[in-house]
Amino acid sequence: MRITVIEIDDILKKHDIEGLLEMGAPQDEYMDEAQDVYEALEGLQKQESVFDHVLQILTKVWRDSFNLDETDMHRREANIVNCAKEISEKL
Amino acid sequence: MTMINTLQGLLSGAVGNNLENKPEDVRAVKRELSKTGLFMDDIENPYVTREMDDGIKVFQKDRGLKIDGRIKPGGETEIALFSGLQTILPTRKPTQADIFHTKKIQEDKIDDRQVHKENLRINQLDEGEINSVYPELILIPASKAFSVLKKLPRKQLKERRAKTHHGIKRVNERSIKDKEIYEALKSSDRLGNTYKKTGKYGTIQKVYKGENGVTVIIETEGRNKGKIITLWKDISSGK
Repeated sequence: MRITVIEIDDILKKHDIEGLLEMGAPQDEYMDEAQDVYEALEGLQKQESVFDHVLQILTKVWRDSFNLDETDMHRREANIVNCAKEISEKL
Repeated sequence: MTMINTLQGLLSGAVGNNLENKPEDVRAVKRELSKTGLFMDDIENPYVTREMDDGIKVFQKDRGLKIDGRIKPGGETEIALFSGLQTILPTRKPTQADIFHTKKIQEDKIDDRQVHKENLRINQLDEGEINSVYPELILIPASKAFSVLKKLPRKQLKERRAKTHHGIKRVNERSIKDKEIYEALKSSDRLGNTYKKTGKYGTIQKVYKGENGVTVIIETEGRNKGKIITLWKDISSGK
């Protein structure tokens, strides 16, 4: 896998899905989520549907970490999809 | 149905001939079938078609499921079709990602139970319903009850606030004690440093800036109402 935890974290920070960095949270705010996504992506092989896998993993990590329901996830969908796209492009 | 819902396979009703066939469910099934190469028609068409019916049956046959052309919420065909990694690559061996998923689901079930239990106790304290927390006090004479109560971790519990998983991780990794959080909340209110802020998705969040350098963000509505969503300590405060 070419992408690193740091790169995933950079993408999550860039999109700041929860808006916590904007509120002044430290730069390592999403590092745990980045680590979870990285671990889930390990072993994933290059394939056409890689984006779906990344989106699924990111969705699960986010939903669990921030205790979100369907409505919450729907509000974040655009940001999560964009993050998943960027991560999958770097795999 | 959103893209996220579709990937999670959350059908809201049964799909197949003479079943509910809600448009969003039909589209979701067609979309998943198309990924397996068993449906090549228009996936945005919200109606059940012969091609779709055939695709479901071939899918069921390929995976050794009951061949009836029906997909019910929570049923074996829905699980097989929407389960993500296993479905897209049905014949491959489990990858580390699969193993991670299985492991994480198991861990999360334990985590969820623990978090729920702790949050329940904290909420009971917040609402003043502490009787059930200390059933042993029922057997203690009233004169001794107060001294025993003082020895119990009531204060410690009161200092605790409910947190999301993310909040719990931040507390642990930033080594911020419950007592520091409690003091931050109190001093912030006392000094007028507490303010409300609209979050990125329109919910109101309360920001507490304690004099001990700890900043705490608490959600004020929705399922995380009253929970700490994150917190940090200002290193420059030197406290």
